[in-house]
Amino acid sequence: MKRKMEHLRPDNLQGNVVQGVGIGLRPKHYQNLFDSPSKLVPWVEVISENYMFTEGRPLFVLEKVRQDYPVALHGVSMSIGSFRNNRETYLDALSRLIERIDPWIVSDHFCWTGLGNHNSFDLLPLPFNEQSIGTIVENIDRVQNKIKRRIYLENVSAYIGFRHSQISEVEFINEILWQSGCGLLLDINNVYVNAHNFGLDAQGYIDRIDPSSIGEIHLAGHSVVDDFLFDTHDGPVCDEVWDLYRYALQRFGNIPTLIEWDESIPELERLLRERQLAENLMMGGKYAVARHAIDYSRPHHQW
Amino acid sequence: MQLQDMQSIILDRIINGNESAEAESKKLSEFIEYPDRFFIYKNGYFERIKAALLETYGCTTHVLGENAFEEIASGYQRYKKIAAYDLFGACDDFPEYIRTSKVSEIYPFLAELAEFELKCAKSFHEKGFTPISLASFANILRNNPEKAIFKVQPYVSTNISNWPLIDICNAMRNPQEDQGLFNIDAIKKCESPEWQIIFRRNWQVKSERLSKEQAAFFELIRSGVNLSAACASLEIYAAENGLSERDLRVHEWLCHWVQNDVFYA
Repeated sequence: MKRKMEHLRPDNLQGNVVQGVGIGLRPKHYQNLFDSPSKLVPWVEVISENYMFTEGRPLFVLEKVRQDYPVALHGVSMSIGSFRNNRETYLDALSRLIERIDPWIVSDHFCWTGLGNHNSFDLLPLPFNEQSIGTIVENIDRVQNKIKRRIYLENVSAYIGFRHSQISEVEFINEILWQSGCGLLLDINNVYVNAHNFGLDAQGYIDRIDPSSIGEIHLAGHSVVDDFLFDTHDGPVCDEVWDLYRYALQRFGNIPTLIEWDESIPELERLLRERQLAENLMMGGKYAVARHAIDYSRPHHQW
Repeated sequence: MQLQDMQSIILDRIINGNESAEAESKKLSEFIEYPDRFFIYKNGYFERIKAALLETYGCTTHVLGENAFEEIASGYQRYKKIAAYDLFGACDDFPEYIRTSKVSEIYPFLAELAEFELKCAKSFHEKGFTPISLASFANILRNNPEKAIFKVQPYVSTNISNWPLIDICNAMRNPQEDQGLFNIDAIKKCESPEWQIIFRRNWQVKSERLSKEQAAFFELIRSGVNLSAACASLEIYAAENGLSERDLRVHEWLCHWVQNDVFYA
């Protein structure tokens, strides 16, 4: 049965609407953002953990950026798929950061990153079965109760699969979205990478996603390693992923989208050109009247 | 297979697995599809640990050189059970690990250098308050200097070492300026322990040497005693250590620290 979560506040940005294509905030571009007399992008995304355990310069910069830009908090260590996930310290720190930054969206990944008090700093895949679903739904419930917000989880790229998976990835995600009431951060590059790595149909994946669950889209580059693709975020978005993005926009409407570029980070100008490509697709395509410019005046979802 | 068991095995293989890729793949194939790609996760973990160590311990890792660093980072990976959620927290036991490793026999100063670098990195992440301005400082001295108490910023720390750590850091950071005059294999202990103060100004972490008397005075101030009591104690210290009044340049020290954002209002 789908859970009622009226106690969660809707995604909020002081009544404003977040839309368009954002970029990841990286130290290399701090100064560009500060020096620019006008807003360079509609919003930025940061890796939550880089600001959760510091009171120094990183947090100072983030607060300064927040004065001009809506901020998305994107985590990599929530480990929502860990068995008996007791991450109170983590959730306390995340709650403090949310309070301080008032992000427009809070997200992490459909994965596990560690067990007990031991972290791997990687987004490790899960078997797609009932036990994983039960574990994740229970953990999401704990997280959403703690942060008093809807959490959005991203589909991850994977290189290995599990023999005891019972359903497909997209069925797995839909089931969790339905049971937990969490949202989906749809990474189009990860859909493409997994489709290639496991011989699946990327468009079929997009077709089966519940459109009402998506709060944000990620686009990134990847690398080719032997016979598989590796999600490296170290280059431009490839043509096939642009095609898939176009397809996703047709199906889901204009959803706030992020260009991720985390390795071999280029000058801001190059990153902005990549961003503009996504913006052009979004605006030029006139997809479904920006359904996903989230209307914050009412809860995003009926729970 | 239960989720917990599967996660335990995978985590253990990522962190501790030291078998060949082929042997690893064979073991994991019981429950994993495409086990030959498992190296992506295993290598990824090691690369992240190395990147974190390189970022925090730039000079220490420079001293080690590429090969020795690779080896010591690999040992640290197996030694450290990482509970932190950020990579900075993942490498905070590195000085301790160096202290117990064989590399300390070759470079006896290395653990202290790593500790010093860790303090510098911590300073970067510490909270700070609005610093005292020179004008406020002048006011304090004009009005009631005896009772003045100076609050030290949380990002300020001191360090003591038997090794010339600041010289080592400078040489490691600017090898071209050093022009080979600084021989890392022939570093000698200081004649007496060297004090350093670590602070930050305009978000840049800096360090400076402190004389013994400066260090003694600074620790008094940091303990929360007022200026008058700190000066009285310093005079006793100077008498015990055969220092002249000329060595006690309290006003100059305080001005310098104020200019470098060491105190807050």
